[in-house]
Amino acid sequence: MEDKAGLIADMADALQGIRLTPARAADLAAEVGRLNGAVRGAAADRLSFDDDPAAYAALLARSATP
Amino acid sequence: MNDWTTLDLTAAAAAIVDGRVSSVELTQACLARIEAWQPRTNAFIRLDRDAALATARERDLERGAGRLRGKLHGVPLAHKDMFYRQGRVSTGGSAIRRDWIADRTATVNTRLDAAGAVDLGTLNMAEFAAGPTGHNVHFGDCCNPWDPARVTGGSSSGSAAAVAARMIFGALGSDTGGSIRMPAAICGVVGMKPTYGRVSRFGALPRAWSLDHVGPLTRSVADNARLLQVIAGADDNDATASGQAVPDYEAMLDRPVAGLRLGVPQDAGLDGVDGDVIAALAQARRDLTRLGVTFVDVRLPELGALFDSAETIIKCEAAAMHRPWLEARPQDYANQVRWRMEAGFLIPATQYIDALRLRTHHTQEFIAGTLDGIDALLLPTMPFATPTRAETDVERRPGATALAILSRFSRFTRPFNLLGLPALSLPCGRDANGLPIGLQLVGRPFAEATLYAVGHAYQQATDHHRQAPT
Repeated sequence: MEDKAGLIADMADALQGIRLTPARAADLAAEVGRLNGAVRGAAADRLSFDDDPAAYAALLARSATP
Repeated sequence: MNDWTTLDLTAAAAAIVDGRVSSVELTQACLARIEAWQPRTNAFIRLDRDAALATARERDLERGAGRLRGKLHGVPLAHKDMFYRQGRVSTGGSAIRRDWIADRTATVNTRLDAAGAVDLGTLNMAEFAAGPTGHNVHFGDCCNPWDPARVTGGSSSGSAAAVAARMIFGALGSDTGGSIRMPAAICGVVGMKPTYGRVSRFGALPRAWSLDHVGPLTRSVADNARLLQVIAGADDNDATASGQAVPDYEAMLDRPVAGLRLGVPQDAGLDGVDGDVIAALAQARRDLTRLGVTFVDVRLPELGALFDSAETIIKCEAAAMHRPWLEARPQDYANQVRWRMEAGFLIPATQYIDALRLRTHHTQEFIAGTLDGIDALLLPTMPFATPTRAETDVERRPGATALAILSRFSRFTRPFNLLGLPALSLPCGRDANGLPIGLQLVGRPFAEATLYAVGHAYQQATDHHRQAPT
């Protein structure tokens, strides 16, 4: 976890210009890791090359119930 | 002398049409009520007394001349301080926009004006619509009219508190993770988060473009249907506003509900929900059964997966829109508001895009699975009894306990922002402390009329929505 916190702190500084305390970097590493893991897992089960974000609006329209 | 504030919105509008009351009299009644309740609730950020009375006089002259603008002619409303009016300050509940003057008028405000509404002012809210409790370090916490020591829920805190305390006849709020439904449930009013795209977001302060929904908070379902009717529909200024025809929600309120099928989660779906909430929902189920509604067990998907996708989208979109201010004046944010956005700078763009792409799959699975064979889903709005402001004050008393409570607020609301499905919260009982409990009805895309019909039938048979704080 210390490695991930260090990576997050470095990324925040290098890519976004944000300076994080070690404690805050550790919190964010845990949060980002959890969210990334959840989305990656769900994506692996469901997504394919042709999935387009705009399909969502079309789905709502197609499923409309008056 | 009549206390006109005891009328609900549709009754007040009818009284104006019939000439039983003037718009000025209604506005003065609301102003008197605000004078009495504002010190206890802090629901208003700005009260536009003179402008509201001037508008009310204009509406009375119009009525006298035989001209009614629409279904809200002369009815006093007020809205969360995030719906822009060109030339007027719109704070978004923030220090950063404390003096910001809007450069456009929100489509919803344009439509309410066209329907004849009187705008009394702007209502308290969580800073930048980012907080589930009603705390606000810049404008003061909004307090629950049933018990000022307890939270209102957020982020549309002032909207729910002002409607519950009968200061106004209705209000607009916004909902990105439950921000209409949670305060509606906690304050004992009706709150509708419509289908994504049902209501234009143009001129509404964004929290996360992909998940933001605008909707009404009112005392009754019938009032809610009227407000949604006025604000819903396509908008050339908002490409995400749907072109689906807007049904006549009020005309459909009395549709028979006998024979409708409502889904209820199998036991595991309600694990960890407080006993008071479970009991109130069970009673609502018995009340609806007497109306001929049937119930079937359904299996909820893993709500955590929906929650995490929504969180990913909110954090990334919020980080992008707030970046200039976060860089230039981070000290002007409440800590918890800033902290909640920071992860958005560190989530890879690919994960954000995948969360958006997953939305279609999650929604399709929910419609084809959980909603298969039923007309709507019955859920709690909040999973627990209303906590105090002190025990949830993460800004002044940060700690694991407060954070743990906050993390549970939107368990049953946030997933439906990702799915974009319509969801209606209405009061169904009280907890052990006397605070309201809300039930939530979730429907298929654009099936707001079905939710209203069920809610209206329920309110004809019960009186939870008629109870007001004293």
